[in-house]
Order: sequence, then structure tokens, then C-alpha cells
Amino acid sequence: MTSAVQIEAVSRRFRRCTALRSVTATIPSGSVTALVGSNGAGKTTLLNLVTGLLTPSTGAISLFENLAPGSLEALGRVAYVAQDGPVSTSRTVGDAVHIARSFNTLFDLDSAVVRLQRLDIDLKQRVSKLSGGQRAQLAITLALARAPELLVLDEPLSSLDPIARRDLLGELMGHCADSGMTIIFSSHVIAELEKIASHLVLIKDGEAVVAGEIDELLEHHRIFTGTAAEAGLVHDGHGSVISQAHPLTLAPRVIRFAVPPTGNALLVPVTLEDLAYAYLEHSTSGSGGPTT
Amino acid sequence: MKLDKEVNSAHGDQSPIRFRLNASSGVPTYVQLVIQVEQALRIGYLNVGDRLPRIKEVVESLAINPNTVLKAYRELETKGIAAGRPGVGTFIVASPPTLSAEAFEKLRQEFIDGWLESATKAGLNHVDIMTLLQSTLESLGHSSSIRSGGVSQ
Amino acid sequence: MTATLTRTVGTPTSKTSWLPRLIPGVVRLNRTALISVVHQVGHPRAIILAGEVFNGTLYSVSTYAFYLPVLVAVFIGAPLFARSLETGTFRFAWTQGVGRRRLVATTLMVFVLELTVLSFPLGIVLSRLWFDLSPQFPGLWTNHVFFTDPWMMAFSSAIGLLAGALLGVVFRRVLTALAATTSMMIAIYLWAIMFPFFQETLLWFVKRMPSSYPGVPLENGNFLAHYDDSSVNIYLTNRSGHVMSMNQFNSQIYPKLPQAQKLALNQNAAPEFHRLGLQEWQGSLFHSQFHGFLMMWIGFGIVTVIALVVAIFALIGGNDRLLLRRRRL
Repeated sequence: MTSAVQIEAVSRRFRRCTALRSVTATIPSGSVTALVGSNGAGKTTLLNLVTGLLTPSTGAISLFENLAPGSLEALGRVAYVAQDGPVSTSRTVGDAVHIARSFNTLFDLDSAVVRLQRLDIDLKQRVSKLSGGQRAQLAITLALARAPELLVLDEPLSSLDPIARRDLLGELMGHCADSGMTIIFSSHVIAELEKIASHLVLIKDGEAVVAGEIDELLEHHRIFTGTAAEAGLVHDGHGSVISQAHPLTLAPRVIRFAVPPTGNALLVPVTLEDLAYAYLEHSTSGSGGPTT
Repeated sequence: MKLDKEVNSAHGDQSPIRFRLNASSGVPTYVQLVIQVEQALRIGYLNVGDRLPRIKEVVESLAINPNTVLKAYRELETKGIAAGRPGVGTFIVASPPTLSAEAFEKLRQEFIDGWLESATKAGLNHVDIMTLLQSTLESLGHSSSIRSGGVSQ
Repeated sequence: MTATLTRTVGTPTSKTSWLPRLIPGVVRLNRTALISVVHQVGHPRAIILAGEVFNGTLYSVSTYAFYLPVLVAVFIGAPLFARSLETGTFRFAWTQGVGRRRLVATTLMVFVLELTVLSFPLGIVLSRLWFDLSPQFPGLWTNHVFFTDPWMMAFSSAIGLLAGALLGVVFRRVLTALAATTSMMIAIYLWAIMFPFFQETLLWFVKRMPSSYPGVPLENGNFLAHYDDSSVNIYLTNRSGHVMSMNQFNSQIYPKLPQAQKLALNQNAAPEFHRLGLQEWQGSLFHSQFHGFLMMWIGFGIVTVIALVVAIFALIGGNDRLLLRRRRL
């Protein structure tokens, strides 16, 4: 399986803060990767690094096995939809479409126009007068028209209504099925992810505490209800307890196992939400967290 | 179960089955798809030779990852129910053993007159009965849940 | 998984195949600014202003020559990149297939080209209409003629544009860039208008120019008058060859020279005076409009343009390769 994005020990410092401390992750080609983390955790910074808008302070990112982000070859194959911002300083929607067409060698003008029509966005409309959701859809339209191999979306659903959300997700999944496009999208709404994402990267305090295939992650985690001591006995040294409820209460605790456990009736399968919340609430005291 | 069969105006292009998801059932998505195919076969809405929906159609309408559908179709292949023809689609090649309508009806009557009568007399209500059935089947090693997404057209 | 979409057109392999496609997009994107350039350059007030200021400003140089670059720098150059950097739309533009460097290069090129094309007719009009009337300073090399020379106007407005654009990239906010560019222009104007400062700067170069005529030693004031034959410059030095501040000479020394020395001074410089139609030393005769000066300005101009362009590209960063066959000024 070829990798679309390879992130090796990447960190990014700014003058006043460290946005990412050390992130290592591999995003396979054709996957749909959800990038999850609380606001300010470093999701947008990571996406900016992958798309070449920023360069890492340390470490390296390679796209499609051997390209640097921001290089001309990579730019032609990667499309970025930034969060909720204006797309272009152009006056009208039609201007924006034609500008995008002139800025890219690969651009399907007809499909872009058709998609905008379907969404009731008039080409003559002024970009400044578009609603947040329409702006997001315009940005997505222009990105899809480039037929990218890697589509990077920064919280694409936040300004869309529920119907638009479902339609967009369906459309993106259709693109995946058709062309094997790799998708990375950041989200801080975890509930929607389980159906569409195949991989998960979870950022907490500038580190990727979870990075891997979701099915595998779910296989390696279980929920056990009991005290912390009992939970420790359950994994018996071949795992770690992620949830940090009070040690003496009988609370459901997410446990990570080195090997998927079988035959223990006390262990309940974990959902992606449970897993994500457990890691997000878990305070990393030294260990960088497990990766699969 | 509600049973509506879709009327196909165009022959051959549309698969007879359309999937539906029950997001809150706790059953993995791909399992739901497999069950819907098996149920459709049992009822007779899918027959041997019918084509399963294209992956693209399924993911577009359900907004799920294509891998999930692939997994479901592969599971059906493993079970011997379906087979993929590259470039054409995935087709039903065999159906799980179905009961005839009379055999089905006979078993149903046996159930109502026999066990269900005793259970109701003993005071079990609807929920108790479902729970008992569920836990029994699970403990006996049957992996699929009763509460799957229903078949609809 | 299913097969990957075959991309029929990959990244361009030929060096300039992207340019014809990119230019319409850049023009469309900057349509408003490009139109306002035409408005600035071709506006009748520019002609009128040029005529007005001729009658007594900035050592007889039409300040329109400075007016245009200032306008261009502040209103066109400063917001050029600052706007998209401030609103965040650069994230869209810089992740397109064309790459940020080609985009910036093409944008600058389009504007410089437009300014050059528009400067020519305006410069010709200005120099013909207003400055042929003066018998005293005929020819190309007199100040205002020089500065309204079409090439000079194109040059100076290009420099103004680049300077404004650079400040826009530095500050990444439109208002800050506007303020900074305006301050910079005011500073330059003050430097030019405050004659001593201007002349002191030019003296720095004059000191390094070879003198072909040793001149005449004067007695009491230890002052020699030199004029450099090749570049026809006149400047004053003391006995040790130290070039003096013209201001100081004009105001403090020349008036106090005895008549004989004045005469000697004028006599030695007579050929040059005669050529210029003057009877005697008329102070501030620092001929900055002659060939050497022109070369100096052009040299300066080229270096400035290159420096500004390099600075802009250094600041925007990026590791996409820049493929331009030739840079147009």
C-alpha cells in the first residue's frame, strides 16, 4: 500500500508557542483520514504543513512517497480547502472559477459549473455576498474540479447544514470509490467520523497520540467497567489504561491491548467516540501514547 | 418488516436492492449490509444473477467509506453468496438456504403455540422476550444481532 | 480499491507553457487594480499637476515624476499582496497548481508591463508639452526632461510598485502597508527636496569619479575648480582634492572670494558655462543631469529593482521552483 502522506517527527514552532511538538503518522493512499483534536491542538498547523503553506521546524513530510509539500508537482496533485475563509479576492463566483482554471493545468470547468448549479450558487453572484456555507461549497467545488489525488479539508462541515453535510460526505465518498482519492479532513465533531473515516490521527497538545487504521484501533481497545486496579489486572502488563476516571470508582475504562483480546466476557467493544474521548481526556505524562 | 419492492422501469441497470443504515443500532455497518442482502435473498427480492449495487452508488447515498462496502461484499463472497466480476460488478451466485413458505409458517405457528405461549403465561413481556432471545443466541455463538437494519426498497 | 484516476495532463514540463494560461487569471484577479492604474496615469489632473509644479519646486523638476511612483506604490503596490495575506485568501492562491512564486512573479510582471506601456505616452506628452519651452535647458539631460523621460517614468513607477509590494509582504496588512509606504515616500521626498541632503548623497558618488582636468589652484581660499571632461561635471574641491559641499561653497565661500579668484574660477569653467549659456558661476551648479548621472540612476534603478524583487521572493518563501525565462522590467 503506497502512502499518500508520510509525516516523520515533524514539529513546528512559532515565535510565541509550539504548535506541534512531534508528530509521526503515515496516511495511506486511498484512505479517508480524520484529524481530530481540540481547538488549538495543532490540526490546522499540521494541515498547513502537509499542503506546503508552512515548512516544518524539524522533521520532514513527504507526499506520494517522494515529493515535498509545496513543490510544483505536489501542488498540482493536492487540493486544500481552508477553514471557512474567503476563497479568493475575485469579485464574482464566475471570476473565481475562471481564475482557478487558469491557476491549474488540470481543471474540469464543466463539472465545477454543474456542481455550483446544483447547489444554487449563481456564477454572477458576488463572492463577498455568499453565506459561510456557500463559500465553503465554492471552495470545495474548485478543489474537486482539480481532480486531486489528495484532498485536504480543514473542518469542511462546520458551516454546512445537516442535509448539505450528508450530501457532501456522500459525494466525497463517491469520489473515493471512483478515483481512489485520498482524503484528510480535520474535525472536532467525532460522531460523524465513524462511518466515513478509515484512519484516525488524534492530536493532543501538539502530539499525535493516536495514528492508525480505525478498524485496527477498535480491535485493540476494549471497555472494562471496574476500578483502576482491576483494569490493570485485565491487561496484565500487555496494554495500558487510557481512561482516567477516579481510581476507586467502578467506571467504564478504555483499555488498549497490545494484542486484541479474546474470550474475556467482561470486555465490551469500544466505539470510535469512546476511544477518541478517552485519548483526548488522557493527560500525557511522558509517554507519547500508542500508535498502531 | 415492511416489504416494498421497487418497481424497475429500466431493466438491468439498477440493482433491485437499496441499502439502508440504522446508525444507532450498534451493529457494524458492513454487517448491516450483509444482513440486508441475506434477508433480501430469503424473501425473494434478490435472486441469483442479480447485481449488487455499485460501490459508488452505495457510498454516495449512505455516506460511508467505500472500504465498508468492499468489506461487506467480500464477506458475501466468503460466504459463497456473491462473486465479483471485474469491471462489471458483484453478482449473487447462490442464496442461503431458504425455507418454503409453508415450512416457515409451520415453524412460526410452532413458536406461537409452544414457547411463546408458555413465556407469556410466565409473565414475560415483549422486552424480556427479546432480551432472552438475544443473549441466548449470542451465548450460543451466533454473531448477528436481531436488531439489524430492515430491508426496504 | 478501485483504479486511480489517470490524470491526462500532469505538471507542465515545458518552461513557459503555464504563462499564457496564467496571465488571464492574474489579470482577472487584479482587474480592479489594473484599471485604477490607468486611471491614475491617464488622469487629466496628472498633466495639470505636472504643469503647476514646474514653476518652482524641487529644483525645477516636475514632481509628477515623483507623483506617479508614489501613487503607484501606495495605492497599487501596498495592497497588492497585503490584501490576500490579510484576508487569508493567499491560502487558496498558494495551494493551486501554479505555485506561489510563479503567481507573484506573473502579477508583478503584469503590473510593471502596464505601467511601462502607460508611462510612455504620458512621458512623451509631458516632456514635449511643457519642457521644450525652456531655452535654458535644452536636450535630454536636463532634470525635468530626464525625469519625465518615458523610460525613467516606467522605471521609477516600477520601483515604486515593487517597494510598495515589498512593504505589503512585510507587514501582511493593508492599512499598515499603506501607512508604511506613505511614510517611506514622504521620507524620500523630504530627502530629495532638502537639497543639502540630496546633494550630499550625490557627492558621495562624485568623489569617486575620476577627474580629467586638474583645474586652477586659487590662492586664499585653497579652492580649485574642476570639471570632468568626460562627464561634464563641475564640482569644487579644496587643495587636497577633497570635494566640498556645494551648499557650503555657494553660501559661505564663493561670496567671500576676491574678484580675481571668482574670475579665475569662472574662466576655467568658462567652456562649460558657455555651453550652458551662463555668464558666471551661479551657485548650485551641480549638473546632475549629465551622462554619468544618468548612468548612475539607471544603475541604481536596476540594482534597486533586482534587490526589491529578491526581497519579495525571499519573504514569500516557498520551495516551488521559479521558471521564468527572462525578467521584464
